[in-house]
Amino acid sequence: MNRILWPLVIALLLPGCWIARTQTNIPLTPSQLEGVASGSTTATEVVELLGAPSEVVQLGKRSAYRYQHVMSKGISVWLGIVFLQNKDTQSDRVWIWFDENDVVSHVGASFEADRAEYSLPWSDRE
Amino acid sequence: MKFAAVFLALVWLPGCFSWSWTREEIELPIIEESLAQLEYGASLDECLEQLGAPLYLWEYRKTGIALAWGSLSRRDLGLSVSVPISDQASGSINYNHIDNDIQGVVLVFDEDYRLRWIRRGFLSDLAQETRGLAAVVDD
Repeated sequence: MNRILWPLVIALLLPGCWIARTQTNIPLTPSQLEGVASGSTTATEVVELLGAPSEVVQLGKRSAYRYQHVMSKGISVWLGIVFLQNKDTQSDRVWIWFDENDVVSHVGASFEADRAEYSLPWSDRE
Repeated sequence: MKFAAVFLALVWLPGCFSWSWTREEIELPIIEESLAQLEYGASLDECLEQLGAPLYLWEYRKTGIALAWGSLSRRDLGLSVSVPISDQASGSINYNHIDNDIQGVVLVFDEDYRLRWIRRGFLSDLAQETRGLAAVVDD
């Protein structure tokens, strides 16, 4: 009897574990920004280098483009009556500001998408 | 018989009783030491160097700009008996709208992109305060 029931119990528990990863847009890297220089690169050149931005913000006569790559990693475990779930979302972000002449004036970048982790709810971030 | 009882319990119990432990994290908190190094009058470049790229950006009083950094850490530990008794929320982030639960800091710059003031709190509240547009905040 045990030979039949234990595999059934295990078969019941195993399907309750899953890992998920979702991404939005392609990853951004610091090297992509090497061709972007404050005071000389134009908005057209930025679009040629990085593609269409995720968002354009109008700031009076000036503007700013946002480029973003989002990574989410999650683990869910369902063991009988116990449900554990953890989801971590991090992103690469680049903001590029343009002056009244559509020339780059400022650049801000963060590259944290790789820091998204698979972990359990009690785990500390590495 | 004992195993049969365990098996049936595993099959039926989750349908009416469960214990959950969930956590959701979105973005990393700002580094306080970096924020502390910023002084009023600091340039936009200095702020970007210290804090990295903001999550959100909007116009402030037509000539200035407001930049927002923030993060969310949502934890839930609860028991559910037939119907959930814990208040669980499905976390998500939409980078075009501000989640009500994201806390952080907003830096406001004047037309010369010099730091004028810093405010902490829920980004949705700070956005309403500095934009006056309730529509940009998710319910």
